[in-house]
Amino acid sequence: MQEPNDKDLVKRCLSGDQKAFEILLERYQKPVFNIALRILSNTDDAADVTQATFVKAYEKLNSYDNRYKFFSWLYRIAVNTSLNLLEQKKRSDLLGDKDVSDGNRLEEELHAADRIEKLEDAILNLPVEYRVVIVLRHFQDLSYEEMGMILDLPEKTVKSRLFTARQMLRDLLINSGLLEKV
Amino acid sequence: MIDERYVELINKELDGFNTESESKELQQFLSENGEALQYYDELLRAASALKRVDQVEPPSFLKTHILNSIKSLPVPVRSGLGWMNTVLDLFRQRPSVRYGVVFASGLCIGILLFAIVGPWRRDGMPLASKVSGSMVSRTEISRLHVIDSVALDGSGFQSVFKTFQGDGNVTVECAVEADENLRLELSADPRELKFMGFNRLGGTDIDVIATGGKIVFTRTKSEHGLITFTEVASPQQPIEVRIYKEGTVVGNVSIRTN
Repeated sequence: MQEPNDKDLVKRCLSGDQKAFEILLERYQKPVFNIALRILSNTDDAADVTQATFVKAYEKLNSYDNRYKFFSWLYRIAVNTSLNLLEQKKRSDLLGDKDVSDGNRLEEELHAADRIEKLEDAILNLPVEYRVVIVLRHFQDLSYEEMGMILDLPEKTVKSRLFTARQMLRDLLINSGLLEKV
Repeated sequence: MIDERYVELINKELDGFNTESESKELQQFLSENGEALQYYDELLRAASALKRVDQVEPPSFLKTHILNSIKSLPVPVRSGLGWMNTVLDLFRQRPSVRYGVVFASGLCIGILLFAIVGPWRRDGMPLASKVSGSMVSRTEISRLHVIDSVALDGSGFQSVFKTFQGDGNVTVECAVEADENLRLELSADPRELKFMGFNRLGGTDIDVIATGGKIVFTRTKSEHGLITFTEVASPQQPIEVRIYKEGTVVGNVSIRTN
């Protein structure tokens, strides 16, 4: 049986079918959580943002314009909610709260975990507007156009920001020793 | 320093968004530019490193928490009538529906404007139109003072034209009998006389056109009628009468209006 598409599920929600919203939640909970996590670098904060995102989406479902993709609309709420929370926190607190990686590893895994941690630190060290585009492109595999819709930016700006973000990330990775300069 | 165009091509290559020709162009450039090749390689390795970062599973309790939060909220429903929302959705999603609505709206507005403006235009400045209706009847005409009476005869036709003085108006009685269809034109000075109406007393039922100060019987073999003009100013100029056969003037006469 073919899975219902997002627009049909939204229609069903608006008719009072809460089960339809549950399907949307199962479909997008993980990507929304990861967007929030990569921006905030804290699982508790990411969970709070995920909850706030879906509650807000449910409340505002009647304002969703079905000319646009549902996940673009949802991710936009997630990004904005994450950025709002970020404004309330200082960056030094962020690094102190950082708990993305699981510290309970075998020795041979520690090396890999260390590399991942350095990579996550590098992402965190990016200014937030560059961090967001890296997260959306590399962790959610979104197109420039989709990113433009989520961030409410022209495609040209999205590309420029992404290209600059990659350059900055490259420099950070080289400085951290994770990337050897050729 | 790498040219901006190639910076874009390098980044689009990483994303897989280059066309075949763009990829070829980039490969050619990279083969000739060591600095650009190094830059591309470093970005590629950075992008590959990012791929090793796995998606994290959200906490197991999160779904339940979210569903519980939503349970206490009112069911979101679209405002307005359901059928209206269906129509609005159709309008938003189908360009053909939008174009159709715009076209139909434009047509309705055009028709409405014509209906509103049309009569004003006719009142202010007579348009070419089919006219009928009488201002002066046969009975009334007999009580009016005759200003002038002229006969105009020609090859294959006979005609008589009389002008009558009414109360603030001038009426022309015209009578034509012909072997073939003729075109009859009566021209009054619009600064003095404004066309009011035509009362057909006899003859064939043909089109009569009033435009500006000209009254035209497009084709007639037999005509008898009363044409009434209202006085805009004290008439001084005569009414000019022309008769055409196959586009050629076959007779013309002036008839006094005072």
